[in-house]
Amino acid sequence: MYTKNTGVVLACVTQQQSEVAEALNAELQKRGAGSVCVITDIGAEASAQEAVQAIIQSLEGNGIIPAASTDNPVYSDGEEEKIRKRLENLGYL
Amino acid sequence: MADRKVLIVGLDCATPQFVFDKWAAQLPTIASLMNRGSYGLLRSCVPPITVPAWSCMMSGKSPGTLGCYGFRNRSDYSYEGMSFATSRAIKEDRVWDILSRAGKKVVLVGVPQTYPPTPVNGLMVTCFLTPDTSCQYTHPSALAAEIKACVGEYMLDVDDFRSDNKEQVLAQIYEMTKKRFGLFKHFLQTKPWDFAMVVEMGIDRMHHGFWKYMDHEHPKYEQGSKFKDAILDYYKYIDGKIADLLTAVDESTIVFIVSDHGARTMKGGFCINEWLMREGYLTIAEKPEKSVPIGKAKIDWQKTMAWGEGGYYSRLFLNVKGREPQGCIDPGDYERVRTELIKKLEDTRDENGQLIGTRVFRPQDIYSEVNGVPPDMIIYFGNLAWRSIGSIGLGVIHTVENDMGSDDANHAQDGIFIMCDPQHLACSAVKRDGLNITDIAPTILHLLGLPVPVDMEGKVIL
Repeated sequence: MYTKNTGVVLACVTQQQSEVAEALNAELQKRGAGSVCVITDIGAEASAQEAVQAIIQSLEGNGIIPAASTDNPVYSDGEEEKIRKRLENLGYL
Repeated sequence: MADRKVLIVGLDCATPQFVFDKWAAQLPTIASLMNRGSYGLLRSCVPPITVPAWSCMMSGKSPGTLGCYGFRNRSDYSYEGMSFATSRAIKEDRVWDILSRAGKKVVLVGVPQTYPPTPVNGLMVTCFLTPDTSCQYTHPSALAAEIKACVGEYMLDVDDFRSDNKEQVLAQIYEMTKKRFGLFKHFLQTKPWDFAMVVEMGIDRMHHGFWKYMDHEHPKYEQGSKFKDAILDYYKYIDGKIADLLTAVDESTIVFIVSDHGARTMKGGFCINEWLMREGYLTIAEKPEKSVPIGKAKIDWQKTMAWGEGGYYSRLFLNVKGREPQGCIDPGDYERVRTELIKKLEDTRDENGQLIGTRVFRPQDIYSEVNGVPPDMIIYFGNLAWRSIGSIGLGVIHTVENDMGSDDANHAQDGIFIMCDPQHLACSAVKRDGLNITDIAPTILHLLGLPVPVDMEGKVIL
């Protein structure tokens, strides 16, 4: 669990944890704190890296931490050329 | 409404004149959903193109707000800086982001602009902007192994779409569809979900590849072709696939069938940059020996006021002093030049001198916000009956071919909307008017019992 004055994140794996998180969220909402409660159900099959990514995204999505810079390119040069060619072939470009 | 589920079957390019009218009687599953629910034209965004249209639908926001005007967007005001609109280009929430934060489970398969995958509360299989399945194309990544076990090699799209071997193209489209629907049904049956969505690209590929065999009005119509019923047959196949999916959902599920835009016959290509050269707005430093894309042509930028991009629509950019590196339009002259060009573009004609009904949009006139680096104009040649050809060196203004080879259909502004709630069945089909692509996201949230963010531009369809 991550806590800060501005937010709560519960990283849930099991169904039971999700239910606890939902109940807690409802309780916080009743007390006017719903907007700062974040529940992240990361799923039992997620790797540790994916769990971290999911929690970070929840924190970003709720404005608790600033979004990370995504300057690294999505495609390698070869992949970009492949996508460009595909889109040309499909008539989009 | 807490126990309700929403299922969306997205059919890229599914066109109302076929689904609602011409072939309605031959598509029993879709007709049944229409007859027990409601339906209508779904007005797409400007431009009505897969990217950004699906993201507009799923965010409830316009291309201007998203800052995404096509598959590739200018990343700055240089002449070369174009970047692909991947999932990272979308900074606004899409419904699955909101649903995930609210603890709702989502299943997403093939929704455009989802590559690279982002974490969701559930699972995601990305779209045809994924280079190939050796990349991470799922969330969670471990899902890829399950997909392989379920359908074998998953197909992101059709390879070699421009092949003259139409039989092979057709076979690939069917295989792609079979695998995508098979996988999606597997997820519906085996994963927990509150919101499930699949987008199938096959109809779009069929329209672009097989329209001329069906449409007597098409300039390249081929009478008596063995492919004359190929598009109808594929729509019937899709109808059967939807029927199969519906066996995996119960009465708590509200079903949507939607498309991001429609389709129409393509009369030809309008060579935007050749036209700009003829009109004195674009100057090349060196005439190419053969037709080349605008990005590879040697442009004399100091003598060039405007250039355009090719595609199913056109984007036109002005070369403005202080904005572009070698801009030549004084900022004080910007609106005058833009207005002059709009007037001339609206007067464009076919090879016989007949007006073609070109429409030109200023982004600032059609979007409530204009983010990113927008085009200065968006152009529908012949109201989308003509595509835009961006290549230079063709030496003509009009062509019957796309610069990449034959292409039979262009996009149209209206897609389809069908909604059926088994718990509120209509006695007969309810036809709805005035639906917009941005209405879908707020409607989904409303149906799943979540508040609609005030900055969504669409309305809840009640």
